[in-house]
Amino acid sequence: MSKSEIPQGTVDYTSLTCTNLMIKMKVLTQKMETGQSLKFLTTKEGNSNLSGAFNKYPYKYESKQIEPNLFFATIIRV
Amino acid sequence: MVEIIGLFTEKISYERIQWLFPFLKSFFLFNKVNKTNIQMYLTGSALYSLFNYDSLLNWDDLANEEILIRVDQNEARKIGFSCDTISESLKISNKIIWTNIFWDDLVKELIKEKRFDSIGYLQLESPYQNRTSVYAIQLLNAIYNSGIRPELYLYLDGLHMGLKNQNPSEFENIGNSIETLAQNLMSKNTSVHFFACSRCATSRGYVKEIDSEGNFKSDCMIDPIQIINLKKIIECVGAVSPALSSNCINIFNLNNKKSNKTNLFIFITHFPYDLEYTFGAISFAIASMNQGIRTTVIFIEDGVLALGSDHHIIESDKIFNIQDIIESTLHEENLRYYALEESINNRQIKINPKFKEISCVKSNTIANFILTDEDKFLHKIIFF
Repeated sequence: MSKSEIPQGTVDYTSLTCTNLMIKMKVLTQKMETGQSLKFLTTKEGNSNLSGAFNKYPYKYESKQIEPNLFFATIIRV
Repeated sequence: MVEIIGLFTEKISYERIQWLFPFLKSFFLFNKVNKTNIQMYLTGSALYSLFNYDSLLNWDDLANEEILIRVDQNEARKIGFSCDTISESLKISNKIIWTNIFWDDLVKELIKEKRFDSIGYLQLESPYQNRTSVYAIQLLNAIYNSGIRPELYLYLDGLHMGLKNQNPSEFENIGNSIETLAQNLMSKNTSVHFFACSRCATSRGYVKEIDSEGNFKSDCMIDPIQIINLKKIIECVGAVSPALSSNCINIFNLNNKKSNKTNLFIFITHFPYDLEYTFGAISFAIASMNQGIRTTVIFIEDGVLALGSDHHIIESDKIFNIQDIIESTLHEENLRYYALEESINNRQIKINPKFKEISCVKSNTIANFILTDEDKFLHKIIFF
């Protein structure tokens, strides 16, 4: 995926450190309805941490690498 | 045998005594089969609790059990206390050892009949304003002198211990002391594990840039200290070796020395927002849980106020809603939340209904959690 393909309005969470990012995602996903999704940018480490935490029911986690340290991620409430 | 080693540097309030002493006594009550041995190490403002009349009655009651209290004679001297100040008629006076090698004694007891490669210290407070930074240096040097690797973890305002160019006119230079210790370790080919949390470092302006590998670069942190992800600090704290902090308790199940399992208990004792302790504690707990460490958060004293009323935080407030964080992590595999019943009753608060799953427990129940978790060698309690 290239930078130009990043959907407009995608939130950039690359400045959030690991635990803050995890907390942010836990809080945001808690309020999600079934079928809703959260799309954002994160770092390599953020992607690694979140994929472990959110790739299980009731969530699904997907990501695409844009640069070595930049990922476009989606968390879907299934 | 259960061995409990507690370190207290801050004031042991009357309220704290009301739950802490029953907690400690429970180990004797519930653990009749195996022996329980408790040592309390008191320095700094914790010393005042030995000289307050109401507290003394409770200390005297605790003295009926197998407990030893080591008092930092050097710190007691500074505040004008001596063994003469405590009445000899009190049972407690027989249980107190006045020591001027306080930190050496603590380390000696921590390692007695146990094998550790390292002992870590988590510093939460800034230097100069807080004397805990001095205690940190004294403890780290005592660990070094014992032949074990000292580890330093800087979290929250503890970061400032690592600021470059410290130049106090009248106080011990904390930065220099850390650098000297690091040099001593390197001269013995011992690795230097002095770490600072990247989140705390970033927010306090220590991080100049993050390179393509994700490494944090600083031009204002002294060299021996590495700014790293909290995950790495948690790995160290969760290891099978003591982790100390300015107020902490390490509980060893000596019948289980071969176990490589530990538990982490985080006691949140401060109000939710005016200081960073509560957010820092919960972040720490979440990071710990993510590392697979069985983590228990207990809201105690003013910490229970995080669970009462309904917090309304809007985006422009620029803080995390503590209640939202708790609510979103209520069902995690390695994380449990509790509230101390005594603290809730003292404040006459009603727990927010969204926390109905958070059990209110008495202090002796917490002791029971530890005693019934028999496959663990070490339980660590850190006070935030």
